[in-house]
Amino acid sequence: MNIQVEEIGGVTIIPLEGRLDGNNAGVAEGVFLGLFAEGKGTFVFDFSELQYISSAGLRVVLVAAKKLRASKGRMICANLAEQVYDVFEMSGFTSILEIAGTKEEALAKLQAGA
Amino acid sequence: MSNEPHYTVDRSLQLRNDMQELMRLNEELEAIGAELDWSPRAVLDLSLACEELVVNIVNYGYPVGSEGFIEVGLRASKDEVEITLADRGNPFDPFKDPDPLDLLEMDVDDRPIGGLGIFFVKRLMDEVHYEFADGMNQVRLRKRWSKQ
Repeated sequence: MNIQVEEIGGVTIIPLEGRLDGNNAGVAEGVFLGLFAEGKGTFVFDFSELQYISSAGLRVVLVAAKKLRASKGRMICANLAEQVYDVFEMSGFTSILEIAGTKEEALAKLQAGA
Repeated sequence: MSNEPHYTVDRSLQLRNDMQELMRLNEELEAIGAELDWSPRAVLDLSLACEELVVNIVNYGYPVGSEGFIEVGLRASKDEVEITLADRGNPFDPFKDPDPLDLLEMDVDDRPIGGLGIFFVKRLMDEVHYEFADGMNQVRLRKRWSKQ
């Protein structure tokens, strides 16, 4: 998985593509942890190019959510495809995480502090 | 009408106990899906069910650093599939625990990492079965689609 991180107005955007599975979830987790260690605290995970997530992929999302909750940071998961949304829902993630329809909507929420 | 399934595809593949093998397993599922005209979503659901079981075997079935194998059998037709996974790792019934329904309600701070994979398998498949036989863990999954 090749991850091109973007920074827009103080928000760090991590785009995920293809499959977030047991084979490559570690790469995504490493990217997040590196940015978090640099002091970044506001994130959008952009799922628009992600077709598939497994429990190994959910681990990355939960690790990020825990770190940001503990450090008073914030994250929004944007643009979940059908399979990804359903796995979030089966896990109860849709009730405990912030979710937005698009990256732009997520950015607007974060920048408004809403 | 007979209940005997009429599988038109019957394949097997042997995976090493290595996460990279997930790619090969997925490619096989995609190939069968294309052949039998399954919906993309059906392929993703099967891929998820298989991945969760394979990941468990790779992580816990075989001792760290040892070489092991997972024999995967894929029998399928247009509207149904039977998947078998067999390994010679530690005897372990992945379906023995009750569904982790208490986890689903937990907020971010309290929620443990993991523990949902097998629950997904049970939710996505119509039938799951485990037995230890001939020195192997043997799992069988079945799924039938009424219409795609």
